[in-house]
Amino acid sequence: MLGSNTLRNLRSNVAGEWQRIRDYDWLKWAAGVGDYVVRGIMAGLSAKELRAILRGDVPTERPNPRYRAQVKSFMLHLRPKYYQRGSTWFTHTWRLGWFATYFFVVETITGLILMLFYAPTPERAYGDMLYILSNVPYGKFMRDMHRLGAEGMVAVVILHMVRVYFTGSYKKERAFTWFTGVILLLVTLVLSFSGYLLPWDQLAYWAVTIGTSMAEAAPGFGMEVNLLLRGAVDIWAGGLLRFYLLHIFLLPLVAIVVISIHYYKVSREHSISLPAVVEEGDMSPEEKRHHEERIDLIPNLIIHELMLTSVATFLMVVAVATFFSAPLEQHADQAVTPLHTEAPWYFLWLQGMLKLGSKQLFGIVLPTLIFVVLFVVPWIDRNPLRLAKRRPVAIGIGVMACIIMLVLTYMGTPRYGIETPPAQDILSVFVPQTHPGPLRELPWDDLHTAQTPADAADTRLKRTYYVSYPVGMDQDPQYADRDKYVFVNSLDPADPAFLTGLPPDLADEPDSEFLQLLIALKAKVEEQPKLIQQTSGAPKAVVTVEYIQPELKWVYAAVFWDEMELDREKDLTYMIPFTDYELMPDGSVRMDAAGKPVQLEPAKSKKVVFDLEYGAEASDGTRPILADPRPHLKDADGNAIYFEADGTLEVTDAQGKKSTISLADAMPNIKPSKQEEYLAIHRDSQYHH
Amino acid sequence: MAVQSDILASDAQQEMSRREFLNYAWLASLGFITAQSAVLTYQFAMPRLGPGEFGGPVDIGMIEALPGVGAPPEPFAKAKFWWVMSATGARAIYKVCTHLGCIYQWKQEEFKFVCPCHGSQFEREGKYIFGPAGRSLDRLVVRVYDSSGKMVAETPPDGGPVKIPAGSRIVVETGMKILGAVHG
Repeated sequence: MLGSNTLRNLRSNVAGEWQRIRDYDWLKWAAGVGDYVVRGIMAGLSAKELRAILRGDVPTERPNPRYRAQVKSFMLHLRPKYYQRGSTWFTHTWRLGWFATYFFVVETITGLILMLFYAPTPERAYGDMLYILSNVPYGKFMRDMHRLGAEGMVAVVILHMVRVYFTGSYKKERAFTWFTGVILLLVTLVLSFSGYLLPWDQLAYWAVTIGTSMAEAAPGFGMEVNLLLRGAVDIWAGGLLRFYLLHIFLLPLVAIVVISIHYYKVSREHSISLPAVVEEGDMSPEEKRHHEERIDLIPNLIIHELMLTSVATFLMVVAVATFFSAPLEQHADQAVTPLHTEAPWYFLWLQGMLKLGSKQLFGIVLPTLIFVVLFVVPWIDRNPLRLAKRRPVAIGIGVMACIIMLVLTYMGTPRYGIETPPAQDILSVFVPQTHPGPLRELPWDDLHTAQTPADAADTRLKRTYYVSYPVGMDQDPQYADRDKYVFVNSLDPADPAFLTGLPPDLADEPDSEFLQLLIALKAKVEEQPKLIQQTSGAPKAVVTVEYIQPELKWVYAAVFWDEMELDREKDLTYMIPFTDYELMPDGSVRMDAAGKPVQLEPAKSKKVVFDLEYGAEASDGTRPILADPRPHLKDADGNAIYFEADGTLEVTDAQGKKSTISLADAMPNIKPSKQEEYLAIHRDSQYHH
Repeated sequence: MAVQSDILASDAQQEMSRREFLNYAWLASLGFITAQSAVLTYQFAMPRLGPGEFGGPVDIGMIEALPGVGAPPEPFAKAKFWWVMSATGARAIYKVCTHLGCIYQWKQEEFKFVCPCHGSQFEREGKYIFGPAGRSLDRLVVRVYDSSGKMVAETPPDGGPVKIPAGSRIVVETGMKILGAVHG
């Protein structure tokens, strides 16, 4: 029958087809498809070829598909086909230009991710930072990577310039490349600085305020530049938005354009310089030929860069996971400038220069001059030779410049040239306002409070540590409860007396970091001669720790002392009990137009200044006193009202009553003073390293 | 060299063609609009400062309500100045340190203004005492209006004190800054 035949044929056909399908070399087909796809993506390089590249083998096809890839692939065409062997010496370039690019890429990636959770408004910015740090998975990791990458990029770009200078690699056809490099240095600095404001904490706010104030010093356009940058007279919403836009858009755009120009010159015109020893050193022709041999980008240098990328990323991750932590301070506060506001480290040299004198000269003129000179280095230095020994002047100037920069950087730190009141200085180490500080780096449980509540009405646990106190205070029965009052009675934690003075919870761990801190504070307070024990018998230094809520402790640190008031010539001043009214030179009270006595400002009243006249400085540095001191009061215009020779002065008060005041009643002008700091410590805001 | 000077010579002799002229015209118009947009962008980006906010005139009320002689200087946070009343008259001292723009504070115990950033110090009337600041504190212009709204006095151009009769209304011109005296 027709039907059965057809069916039979169909069956054998199916079987035949099935056989054909089974016999077909699918593996080869898949390999062919795979190869097609790989070649399509990898600019004509086959999978086999890629493997050969990773193995460092010779090309698998002819003509060399690697060169062809460098013509066909956009990414690869940016790179040169080969380098000369000498120019790839690690100790010649230290790969610094490569690292700069690497960090730029890291910044772009981490920056894009951070932008997901950040809005540049004063209301949100700081909250967003806290959110990124505490609630976003890997948020702190991303932020630390971004910060570390920024610092790394600045460091590497500076080092790159130093390297190019000392190897003489800016000469002849490389002059313009150097020029674009200096632009990139500026862009990198500004890029990094513009990101400084975005966390919107105290450190950021004030560092940027100081930075932009320097622009204000520029004559003519300074005010305008400042207004354009800040978007208002001072930095607030407008300024934050402008810095944000600079940071995420304008400056990266400029950087990409200038990096392209810079690298195009390197890649297409003059390549990386050969080491000077190869170019002009005493080398045998064979050796020289060896170092001038071409090394292909693919595979040798590409796989080297693969290794560098892995190692650099690994090191960054290790740093962020172990010790590196980007700081975040209190919320920006327009009304309070923190003590010791410090520029980022790469601007400390500028801050150091500003301490030398006028803002115009050291803040604008000299920095501009420095950059102008940097820009034109290749045109100033006309010496065509590159070996260090053949350019001693250039090398000398370079070394000098590096040393000067390092010294200026040191001078920029708060350690140099800033006179702060000693108590403030001591407390700022203990409770600093611009970085986390030792207390916040302590483990939460190390901040010991009392074990029992203060009283039935107040259930809070509060303990007072008397760090430095007058003799005998620790024997006062009023402070006998060692759970609530702890006396730090020795600078040596191993001292038995020290241990017996501690409550049980602390005596178990006499070497705890918290006790170490208190001991350090005690040492600092007691070795500072200006901190005089108060006559009222108050302790000199006190720290209290109070347990406020399950997750919150308050730390209060205070230093108390008697301040001797000195006048401007550093003489001690004295007070005499007297009226609070202004005097005329004849000792009568000054009346105003309405016939009412003119009141003195509080601190100017009752003050007698011993006005000494000094002679020329003697060889031992002292200056002899020429005349007898003539004690006097000062009237409103600063004229002296002299005491009589017998030390008395007749004065008239507002009621016309005459009275005599006497120098014998004068007492040193001492004021009880205190310096205090509060710190609220939340369990989660502790910095752990 | 001969060839080159030939080219120069021929260049000089050639008249401007219509195409060349038009291309110069395109370039010039593009340059012009670029310059214009630079000015526009500048004006667009410049912040505007109106009355009542910092940069404009700020009314701080009647003299009777302000701290008098002998009282500590009074800070005005939004208008950014310290109100200082002396026997000789009133001053509005700009809140920002003349060194690098930090906010200095009044220390009543030391009876002077002290800047926390770099340690500059100033007298109550703003005169420089000590530190890296290059000049005394800046003053803002104080204007004194009588009850009829007529201006009767203002801070002299040297930034000195202004005498204020009773019953006056005080307006501080926060956009008019008088720079402090540079010290030697």
